[in-house]
Amino acid sequence: MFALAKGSKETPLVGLGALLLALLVVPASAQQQKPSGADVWSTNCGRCHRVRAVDAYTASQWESVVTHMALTARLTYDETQAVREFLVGAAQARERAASSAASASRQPLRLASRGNVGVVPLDSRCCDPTVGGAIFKAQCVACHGPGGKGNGPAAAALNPRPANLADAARMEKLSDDSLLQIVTAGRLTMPGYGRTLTPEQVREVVAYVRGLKP
Amino acid sequence: MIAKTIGLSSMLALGCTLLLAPAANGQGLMVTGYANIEYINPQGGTHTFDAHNLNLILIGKLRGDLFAAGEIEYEHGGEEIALEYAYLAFTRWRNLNIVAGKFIVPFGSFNVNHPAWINKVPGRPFGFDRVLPATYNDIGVMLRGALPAGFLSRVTYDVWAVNGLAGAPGGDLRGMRDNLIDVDKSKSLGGRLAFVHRLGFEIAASVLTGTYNDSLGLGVTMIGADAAFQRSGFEIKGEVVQATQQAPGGDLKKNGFYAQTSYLVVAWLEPTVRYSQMDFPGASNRDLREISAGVSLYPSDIGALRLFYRINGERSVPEVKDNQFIAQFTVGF
Repeated sequence: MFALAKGSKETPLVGLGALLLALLVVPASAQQQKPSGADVWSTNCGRCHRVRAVDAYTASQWESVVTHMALTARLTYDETQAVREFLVGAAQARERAASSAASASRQPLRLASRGNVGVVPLDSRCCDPTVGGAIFKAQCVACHGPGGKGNGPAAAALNPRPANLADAARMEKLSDDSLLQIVTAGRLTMPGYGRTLTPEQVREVVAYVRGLKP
Repeated sequence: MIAKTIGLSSMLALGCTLLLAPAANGQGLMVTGYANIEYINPQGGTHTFDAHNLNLILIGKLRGDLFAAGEIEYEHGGEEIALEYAYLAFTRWRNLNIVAGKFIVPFGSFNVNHPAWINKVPGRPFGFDRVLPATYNDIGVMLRGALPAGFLSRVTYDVWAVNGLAGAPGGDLRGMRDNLIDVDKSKSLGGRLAFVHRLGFEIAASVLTGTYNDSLGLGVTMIGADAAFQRSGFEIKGEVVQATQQAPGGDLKKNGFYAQTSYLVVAWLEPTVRYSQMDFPGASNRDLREISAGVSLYPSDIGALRLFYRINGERSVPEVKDNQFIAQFTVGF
């Protein structure tokens, strides 16, 4: 028979039990709108430790790390799914890009005219700033900040810091193809969005970033 | 009865998982961990290097929603080898996870976030050394989960039943850990309830109660609260714990507290200050104070070099002079 310590405070335990029951009967429909993985990542991972670069692990390793950390940080179900999609998905996109690049290097003549696999180049028909702006707000602001200056809420925890996308001198050095590739496959602490966004959406957000002012 | 109910239903659910979950080869099995090497120069003592710990962590999914994690700790150059935790976790339901095995008891914050590469100040704060005996791990079953409470905010809970502390009447709580095969019929029960807000603050309350000496029917109950706020590289947090330990001569009160603040000036530099204290009313030589101040230097996102000076104050006669300079290099890999 379980024995509580004499004189112990049972009230908190009863309260915890009641809460547990309430949690189990809350229907999924009553829960909040789904957060984005970028938001979950930026608002939670830096609470306890330095944020790991998104290319620190393979997709299968991220799968285990996300499960372990979500359990430890007590993320909600939707937060866990979102950050899993964000990190595992980015790693999968990166691995696909690497695989495609390796394949392209073996067949340079056939793929040379198509550019990088999975990337749609900018062209004269592109783009709608409202579309790119909405994507930027949902996926990029957490790290790059609302003005793209690299000062989002997650920036302080990242090393290296997010790039200042409003720095004209810096952006002039990056070709459209480079930006499309970075957004698709990721670089340093930035995850790739090749799985989260369609190639057209990647194109839209790159065009939006091109329009950011200092 | 509560402990039995939690334990039996959790074990049943885990058993069903093994039978019903779709077979899948281990996914993402990986070895990770952390290490911590220190140089300690104490006032009036012998300075020394200390390979404080090397902890290897194995994690991976086993079948379906069944996850396993284990951590082996080599302390002080191998002088001590211990299993920090080894548990199975069932993660199928939206608001409930079940953990069974040996796990770090999630009372408060520091006990879980003690590893050197996470803890921004070398050493344990008073209060989480001799009151709640960090690192306190135990064997049992835990229910853990979270519920959304606004966008990117949540309420989290942990409820656990474990073997509990065991030891001599009125004894040191730190020496009562490692009750791996329970020496008595009583189990310990505890819980933590927290609110985590997207703006960067977290506030929580914890409770832990159980019998530590079954033959005399002596129990210990701990209550605690922890809070933290983080924003744009600034962090402030604190934690308080009080233990009421029954003893033949009357209840012993043991209180602990710490507050800590830090600021990430640039990506590689973070000054930090911590104050902690521990009071054992009626036992003055346990009334301790500590102020630690220093900086963490981050050469990368996995490592830190911490340079700290720790001023210790002990209310005893004669007064003990044991301030320390500590250089700590720690890596989480």
